[in-house]
Amino acid sequence: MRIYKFLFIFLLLFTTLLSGHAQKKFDVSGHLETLEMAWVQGKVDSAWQTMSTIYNRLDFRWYPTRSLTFHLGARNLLDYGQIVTTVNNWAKVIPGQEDYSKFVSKDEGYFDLTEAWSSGNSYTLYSNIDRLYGRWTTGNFEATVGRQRINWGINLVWNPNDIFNTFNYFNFDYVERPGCDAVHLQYYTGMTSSLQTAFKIDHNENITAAAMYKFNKWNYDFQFLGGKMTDDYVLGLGWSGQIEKAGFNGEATYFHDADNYSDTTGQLVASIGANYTFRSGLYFQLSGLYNSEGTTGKAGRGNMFAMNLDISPKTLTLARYSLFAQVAYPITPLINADVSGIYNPNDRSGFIGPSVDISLKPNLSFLLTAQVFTGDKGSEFGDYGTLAYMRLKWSF
Amino acid sequence: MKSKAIITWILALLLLTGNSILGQQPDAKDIVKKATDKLNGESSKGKMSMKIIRPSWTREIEMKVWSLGTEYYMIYITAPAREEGQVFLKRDQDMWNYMPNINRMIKIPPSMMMQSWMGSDFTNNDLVKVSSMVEDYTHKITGQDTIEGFECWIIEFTPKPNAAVVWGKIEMWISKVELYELKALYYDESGKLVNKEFMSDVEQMGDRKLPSHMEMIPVDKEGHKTVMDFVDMEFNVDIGEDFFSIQNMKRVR
Repeated sequence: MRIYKFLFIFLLLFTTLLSGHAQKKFDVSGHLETLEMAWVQGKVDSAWQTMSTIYNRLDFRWYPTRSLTFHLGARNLLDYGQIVTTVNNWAKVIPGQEDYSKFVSKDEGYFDLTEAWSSGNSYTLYSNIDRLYGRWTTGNFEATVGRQRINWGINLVWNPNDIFNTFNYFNFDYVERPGCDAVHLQYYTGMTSSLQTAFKIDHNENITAAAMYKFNKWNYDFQFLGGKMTDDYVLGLGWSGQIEKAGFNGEATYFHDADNYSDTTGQLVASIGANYTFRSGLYFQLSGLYNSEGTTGKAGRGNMFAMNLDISPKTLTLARYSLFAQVAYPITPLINADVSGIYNPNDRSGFIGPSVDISLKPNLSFLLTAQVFTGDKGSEFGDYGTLAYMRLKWSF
Repeated sequence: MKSKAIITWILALLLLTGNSILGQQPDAKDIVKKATDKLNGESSKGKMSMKIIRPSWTREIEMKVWSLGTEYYMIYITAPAREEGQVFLKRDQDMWNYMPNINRMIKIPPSMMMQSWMGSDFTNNDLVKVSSMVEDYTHKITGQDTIEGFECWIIEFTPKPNAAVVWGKIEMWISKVELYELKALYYDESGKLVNKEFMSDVEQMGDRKLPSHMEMIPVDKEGHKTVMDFVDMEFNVDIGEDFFSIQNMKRVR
């Protein structure tokens, strides 16, 4: 709460101080959207559950000198409707189930920068700061301190190398992705190579610290990383290049419990992907994920809300194997159609996500999409039902 | 007799040199190289806008561009808001795309290079592979013409056997004195005309005068057009190879 008041004053000061500057030292961008969601758990004539979200994102960037950058990114959301009520009703009867406002306002970072302002049985209004950092650059050196996104992932679906802030693929409406509280140092050893190290602390005071070397060779980008993620030693590698004209990328990370090193076996999580774009713009993508600790049985997480919680590169899915395919086509540059799917070959459950994104005006877009989950009870995707979404988004 | 022979010989020599001065056409490759150099400079930076025109809609994109030789390019999108901040970097054969809002760097594979760039009538390849205009083709002067008062050479480009180029043939109109590229016709491998390009509105840009307006028109698509305007360009600016780095890609704005 206090930090918000501080930020408010800080921003007010900022804008007044800088409004006189002719040079663009201060920059504001973001978006405002409304998202309508319908959730059908069983057959189409079973009771639909709906929820609406009004979502505003603001990014403030300040460039006081050539070598300094500050970035504040905040999200303000109002969720309301039946689904909020349903979750709140569950919370009353299911032990361990949090109410909706607690669920959405949980901050995974060391600092609690998420606040539920107001909530009732059917609504929650909350804010979350996912970027709050300063970046200092001198010569080839760059230091970033604060809440930031450290993106070490390469694959377009599953990122075992992304050990600092894991992202849930199904959360399509959060492209900016969460940040983490960290210190990130980068030294650019060449035009296309860098050595970087990062240190992160989370809400449980768990520490992730690692270093990575990136370079470009034979028209490929390569990266090697090593360090510690909470209780595990971590070793990883990744690449991005091409076979003939198709894009070809992959990443693999090996985790091994540090405290019980000799008693335990490690875990290997690896993803591989290829993509091809035809001259017409028709785009194909295939990806696969292997998780050595994943089950070959039913890989369900239980209820749908568990999907968002505490996912880490070790638990991108609970399955041994996952397959992904996507076909996208720009019907016109203003209308993009896209179908993607995930299949678990062991428990034979799957997901299909068709979407159409229409640019109505230069800064106004309309999205229709669905997430259709199928499978047996207890399987990876068997318990989620079908979700349909409609979004109107204004970017500024 | 002897003196007559010498005179004849001198005359013949004069005729020969005179002939070569007056009658020989300039080297086509040389013209193309000079015109390309004029258009690109050793290095450049500036602002451009691109308008994609289709029968039922138009889309406008604004950007900042930097170049060094033909190997290095950087493009920073300034509008529309949804795309703002995206950066494209080209170094030799490698191309990257950086999206600041998700801090994601994507290496662009060759198949994506052939795709239309942000929905325009240009491909990624057109945008960053100007080098091939000189090196990947053989050039021949095939005629003369006048466009908007400028006397032009018509030059035919034929791809070299192993060149990785898209076109089967290009015809380009380059003004004789000023070396402006004023018109170009692009043919596919079967000899069919695919794109027409027109450049006009000569303006002072930095240290030189150049056409500031360019239209790319696909022939078999009624009402389709991509228009590019150079808003502000400077040439032979002081930027080195180190400007075109992954590090700077995240810093330019």
